[in-house]
Amino acid sequence: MLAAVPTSRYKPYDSSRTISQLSWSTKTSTTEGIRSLPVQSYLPSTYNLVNFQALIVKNTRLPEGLLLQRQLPISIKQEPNGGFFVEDEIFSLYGIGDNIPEALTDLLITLSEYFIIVEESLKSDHRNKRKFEKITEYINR
Amino acid sequence: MPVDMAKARNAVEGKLGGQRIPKKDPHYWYKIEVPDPLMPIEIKCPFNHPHHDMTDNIIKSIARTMGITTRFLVDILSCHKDYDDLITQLKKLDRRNL
Repeated sequence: MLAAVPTSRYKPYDSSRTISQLSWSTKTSTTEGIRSLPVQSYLPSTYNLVNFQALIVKNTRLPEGLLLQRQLPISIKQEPNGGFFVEDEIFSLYGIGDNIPEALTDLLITLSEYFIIVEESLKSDHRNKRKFEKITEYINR
Repeated sequence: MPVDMAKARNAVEGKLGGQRIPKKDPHYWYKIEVPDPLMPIEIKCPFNHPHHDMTDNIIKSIARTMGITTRFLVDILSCHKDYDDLITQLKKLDRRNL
């Protein structure tokens, strides 16, 4: 089960904004011999994509035997192509997917990969020490 | 503004000299070497989705991970800036929140 709790309401569709952008026409026009069909209606030209904040709750299990020690704020956004983008607001890591659960799962994998990459880098390079200290505030074994 | 995925990959692997970090997952993680005392850069790029563009949200996220502005990263990906510009910028102001 995905352990994400929404912290803000999302508005996937705002009809008050889009109705004013609808237009109808019954005219028929001819341009250089090409007759266009009368335009009777348009789909809304713009609509609001999903965009809201949430939390991944404390003690959520991550891949590679890792555990989230503190709740992690995330933002969930819908891409113009319909896919979903989930980003954590601490490390700016992201997950993507065709739907929200898929994007969240991708983010959890990304978080564990990031932990391991930084942990392993410390063996040969101590410049990542601060980065690792910050990660271990949130993620640990 | 979205960036073509193939172009972005060329910039990361070529211009920035990003070395792919081998992982089990299809994710593409890169390490970009930077001189002392700058902190190393590790970024995840969505090159496992080659037929999509790199979206604005992804570009913003990668830019934050690198410690630069979105505009600066777009300039790197679209040929206006290079590795030396990146290093100069990070020495001047590393935006990574650590």
